[in-house]
Amino acid sequence: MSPEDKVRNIADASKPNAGRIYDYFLGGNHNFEIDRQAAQPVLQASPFLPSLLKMIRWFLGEATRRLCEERYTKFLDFASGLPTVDHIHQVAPKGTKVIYSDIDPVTVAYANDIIGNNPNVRYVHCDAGKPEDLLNSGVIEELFGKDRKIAIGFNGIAWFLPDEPIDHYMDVMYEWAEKGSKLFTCDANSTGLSENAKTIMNQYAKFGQPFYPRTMEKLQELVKPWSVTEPGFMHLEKWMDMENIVTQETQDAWSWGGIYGVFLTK
Amino acid sequence: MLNKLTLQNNEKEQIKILRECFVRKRNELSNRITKSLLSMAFENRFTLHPRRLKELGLEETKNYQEFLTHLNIDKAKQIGRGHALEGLGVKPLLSIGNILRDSMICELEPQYSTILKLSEKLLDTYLSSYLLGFMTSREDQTLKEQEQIRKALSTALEQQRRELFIKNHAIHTYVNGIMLTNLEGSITYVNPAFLKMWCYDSTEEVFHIEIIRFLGADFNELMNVLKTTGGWQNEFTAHRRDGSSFELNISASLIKDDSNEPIGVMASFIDSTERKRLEAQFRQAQKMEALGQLAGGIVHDFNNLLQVITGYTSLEMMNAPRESDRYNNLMQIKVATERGKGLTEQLRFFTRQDTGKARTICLNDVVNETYNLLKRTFQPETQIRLTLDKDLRSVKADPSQMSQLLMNLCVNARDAMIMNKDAMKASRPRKTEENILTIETYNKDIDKTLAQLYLNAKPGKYICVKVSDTGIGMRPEVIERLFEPFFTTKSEKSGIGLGLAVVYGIVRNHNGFFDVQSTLGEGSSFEIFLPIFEEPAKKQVEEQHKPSLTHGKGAVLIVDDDSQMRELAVTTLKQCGYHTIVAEDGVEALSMYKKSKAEIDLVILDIIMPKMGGWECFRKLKELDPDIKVLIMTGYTTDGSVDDFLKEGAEDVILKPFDLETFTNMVNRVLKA
Ligand SMILES: Nc1ncnc2c1ncn2[C@@H]1O[C@H](COP(=O)(O)OP(=O)(O)OP(=O)(O)O)[C@@H](O)[C@H]1O
Ligand SMILES: C[S@+](CC[C@H](N)C(=O)[O-])C[C@H]1O[C@@H](n2cnc3c(N)ncnc32)[C@H](O)[C@@H]1O
Ligand SMILES: [Mg+2]
Repeated sequence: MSPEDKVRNIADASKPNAGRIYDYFLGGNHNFEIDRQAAQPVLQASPFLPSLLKMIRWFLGEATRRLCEERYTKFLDFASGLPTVDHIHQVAPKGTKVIYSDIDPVTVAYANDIIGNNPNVRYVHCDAGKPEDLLNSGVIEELFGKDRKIAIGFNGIAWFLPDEPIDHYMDVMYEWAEKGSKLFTCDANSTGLSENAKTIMNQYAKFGQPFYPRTMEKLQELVKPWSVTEPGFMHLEKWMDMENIVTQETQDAWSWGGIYGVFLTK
Repeated sequence: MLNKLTLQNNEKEQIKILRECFVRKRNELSNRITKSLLSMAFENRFTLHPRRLKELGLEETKNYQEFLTHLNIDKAKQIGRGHALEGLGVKPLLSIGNILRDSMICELEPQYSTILKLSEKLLDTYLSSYLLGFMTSREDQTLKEQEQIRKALSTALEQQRRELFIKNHAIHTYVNGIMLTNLEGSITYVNPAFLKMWCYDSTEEVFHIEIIRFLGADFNELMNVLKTTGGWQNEFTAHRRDGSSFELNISASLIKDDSNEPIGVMASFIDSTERKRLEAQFRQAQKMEALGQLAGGIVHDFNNLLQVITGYTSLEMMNAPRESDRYNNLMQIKVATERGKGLTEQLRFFTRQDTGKARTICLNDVVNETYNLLKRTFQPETQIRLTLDKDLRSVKADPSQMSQLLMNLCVNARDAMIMNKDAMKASRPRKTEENILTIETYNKDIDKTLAQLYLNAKPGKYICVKVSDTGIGMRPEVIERLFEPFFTTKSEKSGIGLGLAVVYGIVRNHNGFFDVQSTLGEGSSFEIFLPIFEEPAKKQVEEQHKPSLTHGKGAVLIVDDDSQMRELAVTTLKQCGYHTIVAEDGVEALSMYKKSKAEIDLVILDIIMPKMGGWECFRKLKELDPDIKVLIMTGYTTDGSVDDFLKEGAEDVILKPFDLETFTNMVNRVLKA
């Protein structure tokens, strides 16, 4: 899809759009009645979906908090979405440098609006499947200087990408980053995924966003050569000490392995 | 400005007690709020992180304590606004209020009964301000976000509008005719190219016409095909509003909406007249190519055969006594063979791959020369118009070939006009009474688009020579075969059908191309394109060259059956100061010579002539006057026979075709000798 088509798609009020439905599930206002209508059958079949998506978003905040505590001062984030009040540069201590990126030109344009002229933040266009485009652009050197010990975000995007680009992403980032860099990500564990869940995913795919569910073992393989830090792959609630176990609900409904997060290091 | 709650005097005392009470409950309150908020984590917006909830319980109690101290209503609103921005949900917000209310009113210990009313009042004020701030901010936020997406929508709409405009414009200015119809076959739109193609002034006119006229087929038929195959095509000869016809090529397809349902038909119209003409030309060119190869082979073999025949005939003639029947028969064979050679020579022109003696020339000079040769051979009422471009660029070409080319075209034009005159007598309708031959020259740049209009044309700079006549015109079948060797519509005597074959060969050998236009009964035009040669023509050399026709004095009898040849010789010799007399054959020549022997200084004698051939005439003349000066002029001869003539006493032999310089030189030399 060309950038122009994307702009048109996201703002085309005549057809439901995957991005806007995602926004609606999260509780945002960037959606139209037609999206809310289209979302209803999905919501009815899986009422826990909004909670699930919120958790994915919260894992981003969780990771930021943890990495800031570990004194990482430079963040490079992929598939960032809109940098609203909870995003990295809002959560991290003042002076933390953040480069966000996203494939969607509309998001990139809004995001720059929101950021304004914050000297420590950049928001650029990049396909997470081709990180080299961003790494080779001048913006890294301009904001980070020569430092390559970086905290890297790859959150909430893995299931939107096939295996091959993820493999490529991990290799390129590993090659580029300095020892001691950390990368956080989360993915769904598709082991045992029910037909019913697949139907729901296919429904969503029809609005323009296909899913690529994979097993945890597969992701473990894809993230190499990064090494997994303790305590390894953990359900998102666990990372955030939450009582409400959404994962349990989804496991009952979709009979899969739920959503887990992980921190990797070089 | 009311931003602080004012208390009555008795309340000022009570509030101190209330504050004390609150401080005692604070820790417990904070824990209750936190617990409640955590249990409702998913009720908040995604922007409010669960870790933040743990801080919120304590923050909330601090806030209320502060309110109890300063009674600042605005501050309460601000807190509400802040929570909304962070993403606190309505349920968790209300639960905070409920917990505060429970703990400060419902669960208030009996010893505090005096302050119950005040506590209620303060809590109401606080919570309502807090809620107000929260709600306005939520509204603002929603509006702002909705505004953002609306902005995106209008940007996209604007973009769509612009795109639509561009598409519209593209259809409107498209070179092919476009027609849109609904599914019932009513025309809903046609573009200007369509109107022009069909000679209509306005769209409305078109709307009133049966669609079958434009499609050459029934609309239902078209729909049936479209529904099964998705595409429909048609070719037919269409008639414009003014009655003129053109070749039409239509292709139609269904227009579908987003859900793939047909909503109309779009048809594209192409005038293929031009294309068809090119296709025909192309076929013709291919045929010519094949014929050329064939002819090339034949010419070679044929020449050898003719050579053998002439050789043996000559041998036999040496053995045969002159005047004998046998000798005469052999002579006939020889004459016929010579003619055969002449033909093969012409054919060779058609097949030859070189440009002869090419040099840089200005075609205007050739036109002028040819014009001078030709003008007398036309009927007196024929007008000849020369429109020569003074700035005509040069070409690299063999002048004699160019002259031949022009001559062939002009002779055809003359014939066509004579035939038209005959036709007129048979009262065929015709526009002009007068016969006009026009020879034009001009420069023409052929760009890519133009090049597509002509066969074998490459883009570049060209000069054109165009020969137009008001003659009989040609039928399409004739145009198709025009350049084929031996294709003629003329009687066997007047044409053998090599003229244009030679033109074709010459043009191709000079990397040129041509265009033929003809309307039956009105005339034809042949436009020859030759690539220019950039180096300027060496005018000076030309000028030194041209006037070098050798002048002299004396009377010359010219004997030739070919009127053109006679004319050529007469014109040239007159120009050079000679007096001329003409005879059409040997018999006439003899009688003329007998009559005016004293006045005639030189006889120029063609060899092959009807009635009495050149040989016989030559010998008879020699008998009449052994000192007679005879110059033999022949195109059909071999080296052997030149010698024969010289042996028999001819002054010299000049071979056709000759250049005029050589000719006049020779005449002059012979007369002086
Ligand atoms: N200007 C013209 N107007 C009408 N018909 C023409 C014209 N030029 C050529 N043609 C047609 O094309 C035929 C072929 O022409 P072409 O010059 O090759 O042969 P020809 O004139 O018949 O014989 P030749 O030139 O060998 O004496 C002619 O017989 C005539 O029918
Ligand atoms: C759910 S994802 C992740 C958002 C954010 N990182 C988070 O953790 O909540 C949403 C964003 O991913 C972006 N996205 C989708 N495919 C992408 C790709 N191949 N490369 C980069 N961004 C992509 C979308 O445009 C959208 O803004
Ligand atoms: Mg001819």
